[in-house]
Amino acid sequence: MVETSLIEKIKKGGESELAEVYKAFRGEFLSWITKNFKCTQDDAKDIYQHTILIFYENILSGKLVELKSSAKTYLFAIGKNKALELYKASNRFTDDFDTVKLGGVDNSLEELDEKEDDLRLVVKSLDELGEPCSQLLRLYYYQKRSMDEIAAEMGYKNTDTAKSLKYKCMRRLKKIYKKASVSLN
Amino acid sequence: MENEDKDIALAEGYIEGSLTENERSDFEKRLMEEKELQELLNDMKTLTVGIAYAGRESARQKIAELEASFQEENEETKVIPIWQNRKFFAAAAVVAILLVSTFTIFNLNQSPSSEALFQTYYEPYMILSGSGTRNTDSESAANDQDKALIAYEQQKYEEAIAILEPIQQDNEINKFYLSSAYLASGQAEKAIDGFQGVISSGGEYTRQAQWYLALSYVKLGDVEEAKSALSVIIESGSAYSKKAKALFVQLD
Repeated sequence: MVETSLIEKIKKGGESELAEVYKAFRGEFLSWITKNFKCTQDDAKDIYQHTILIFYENILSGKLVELKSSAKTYLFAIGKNKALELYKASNRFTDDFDTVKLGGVDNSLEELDEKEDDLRLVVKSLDELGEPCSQLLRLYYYQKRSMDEIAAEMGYKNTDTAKSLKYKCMRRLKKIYKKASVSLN
Repeated sequence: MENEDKDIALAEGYIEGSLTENERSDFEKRLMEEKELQELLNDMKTLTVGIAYAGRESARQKIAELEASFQEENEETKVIPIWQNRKFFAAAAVVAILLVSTFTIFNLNQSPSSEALFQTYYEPYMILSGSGTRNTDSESAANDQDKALIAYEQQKYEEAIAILEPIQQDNEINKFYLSSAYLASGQAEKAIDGFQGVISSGGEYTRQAQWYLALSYVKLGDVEEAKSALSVIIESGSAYSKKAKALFVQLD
């Protein structure tokens, strides 16, 4: 695996490459983490999924441009930190183990603070906004793609067209969001 | 519309730190004067974070789907309870998740007895007899503690009590498990004294002790004290507060 180009592909939205990474290291990771941290298979899977998410987001944010070591070493290092975090969290709130955020099911909506409520409202508003706006905004704000790349990928004439669409989308999103938050309060 | 789009662009640039020096100082001047612009900036902050959050949620979803595609494969289905891991969970204890599963067993028109409520909400505090965070002044004290915790784990509460009573002053852990053993063996009054001691020392077992103190009062049928102990938990917003609320309501 040529890892630098792999990272580039994932950054450009290569889902199959991400899936490839997921598959390539899963078995080894799960047995390593269950053995060294003596956690359940389900916990190990949660940790692995979270690890892959961090790996992915580090690529998106540009934190991870090239791998000094192998992808495996990198993933296992994240996994170890995650397992330790889980341990600390479960130790501090020992009875609250199942609400430790591992990307699992969110079973405590009412406990989310106000800020998270706001974010969820944005998620809903984004759904309502529809395409192509939703995709454009995600590409820019989550995947951190440049407007040049977005224009090319989404087939806009040029960057300026894409930019003005982005502002238009943002204005519409704001409108939906405001309306939703007023009706909530 | 066009003006609003311009302001959106400015607010975005402001958040990203991509404005030129002049643009930024102009924008800040306007912020001082224009309430609407402040509101726009706040909205933009929430929206941009929210979009990233949505992106993360769908990435998470996709990764979960990848995992799901492995489901049928020959996973080991054996589950190792996480609290059995002495090496990893070397600290003192992991609580079992207290099961609050049975609101429905009570007829709504009939107030459940304290004992029934106690049985519903009480689960012995699960421990892990690791050796991480103890204050071990001497080997033998440590060994006694080990023995006691093993006895407790095996639900031999009388044995645990016999070992822990003389060494309860050594540390909070001993006192907490002694009190838990009292409660588990039906000696609620002694448990109350012990848990109060643990709470007043304000250490890491405070939250657990608050919950078991409340349950001790329930066990004794002292509704008023139980409710006041539960109020403390509810106000603290600790991990027990949900259960505390549910129990509180049923005591009414």
